[in-house]
Amino acid sequence: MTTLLSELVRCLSQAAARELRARADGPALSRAETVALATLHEMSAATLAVGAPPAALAGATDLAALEELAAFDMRIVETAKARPPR
Amino acid sequence: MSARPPEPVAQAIEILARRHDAVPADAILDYELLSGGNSHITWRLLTGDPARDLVVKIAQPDGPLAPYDVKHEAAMMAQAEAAGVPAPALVGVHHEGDVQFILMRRVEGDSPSLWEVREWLKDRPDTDRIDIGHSLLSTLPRLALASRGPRTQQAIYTDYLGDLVAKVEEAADGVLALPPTIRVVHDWLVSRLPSMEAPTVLCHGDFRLGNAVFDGGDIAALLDWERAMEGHPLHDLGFLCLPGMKIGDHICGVLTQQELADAWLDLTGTPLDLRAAAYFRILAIFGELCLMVRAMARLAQGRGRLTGVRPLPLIGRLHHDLVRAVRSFENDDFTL
Repeated sequence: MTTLLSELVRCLSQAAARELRARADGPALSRAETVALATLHEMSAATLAVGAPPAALAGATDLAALEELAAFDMRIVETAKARPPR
Repeated sequence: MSARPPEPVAQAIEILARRHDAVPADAILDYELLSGGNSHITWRLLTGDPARDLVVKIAQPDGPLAPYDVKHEAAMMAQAEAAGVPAPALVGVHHEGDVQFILMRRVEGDSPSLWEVREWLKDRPDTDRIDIGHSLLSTLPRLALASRGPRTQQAIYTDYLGDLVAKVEEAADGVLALPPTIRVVHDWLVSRLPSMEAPTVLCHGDFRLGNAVFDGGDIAALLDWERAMEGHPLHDLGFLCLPGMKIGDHICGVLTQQELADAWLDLTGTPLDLRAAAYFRILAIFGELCLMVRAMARLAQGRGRLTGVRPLPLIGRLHHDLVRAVRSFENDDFTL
């Protein structure tokens, strides 16, 4: 059971790793790319810290359950924000 | 020009020099990146005379909002002008294969982003803040359509919502598991469409402070018409009320909800329908969430640049804001 944000972080981390491997001997990362990777790193760490929502929410479609699910995404954002910059 | 500009700009400048009389080959002395959006990149072309400078918006062929249709944007700008809402003067549109750009005159004035608005208003009387919000809102009642298409508003919004979901589902297919929120809120929005008896108007589609250029307290131009469409008179007002664009109690950094309602009454002679406004606010959150998730899904497929990762926290907020807004609406709480 994952949230929208944790699922996106997982997919994007894989894509970023692929891209970095492909350009191992290529040009250095631009400042914008470095910032983007730092963001991704922080979001990954925050996702791990927050953990997965209860399995009972999987497939739930009532508004209360959806709100609880979305709250996990918000917690990831807040956790990432609260961490000291690297 | 000291160095060759980045490839898309060089290509655009070469085409402009060859094909558009308005831009002689030696007229462009330099260039400056204005913004790199999801669907296009915008550059200012400097001529040495700021009043003659141009702006070129170059479509990203594989951008997350593709297909970005320059002809559509140009047509919408023309409609806005015809309705009496200022838009940048169009110089030309180029659309050949993957090379698409729109060329316009640069509009002089202030265009503060949401993050700059406090600083921008800091040393001005509080009445200026309300005047700015009033000016921005005053464009909406003017956006009447000279001629409207055959579709009903019900059909327009049913198609619009279906298209948003179809595109996000297509982008996510085989890449990520979408949360049930997308489908549930889509169905909710279709089931709660407000009364569509209001006249169909031209909607800007990305109606926010950063897309307005001010000359003093007046609107000099509304920019970025790529998402313009026919729709409900409160469509743009709902977008303006996106939770992420609220600073404290101030919608889009300028007006409280009461001030917004007062301005609407003043401008239209009718009280603001809070329920409908709240509906279009939810529709705006939903639209933004779908667009951003679509952008991220394309990025995860290797279609795009790593730099696009930065909006990730915004997606978390949009997901949360969306469900909360629907719950509030269901509880008859129409806070904007």
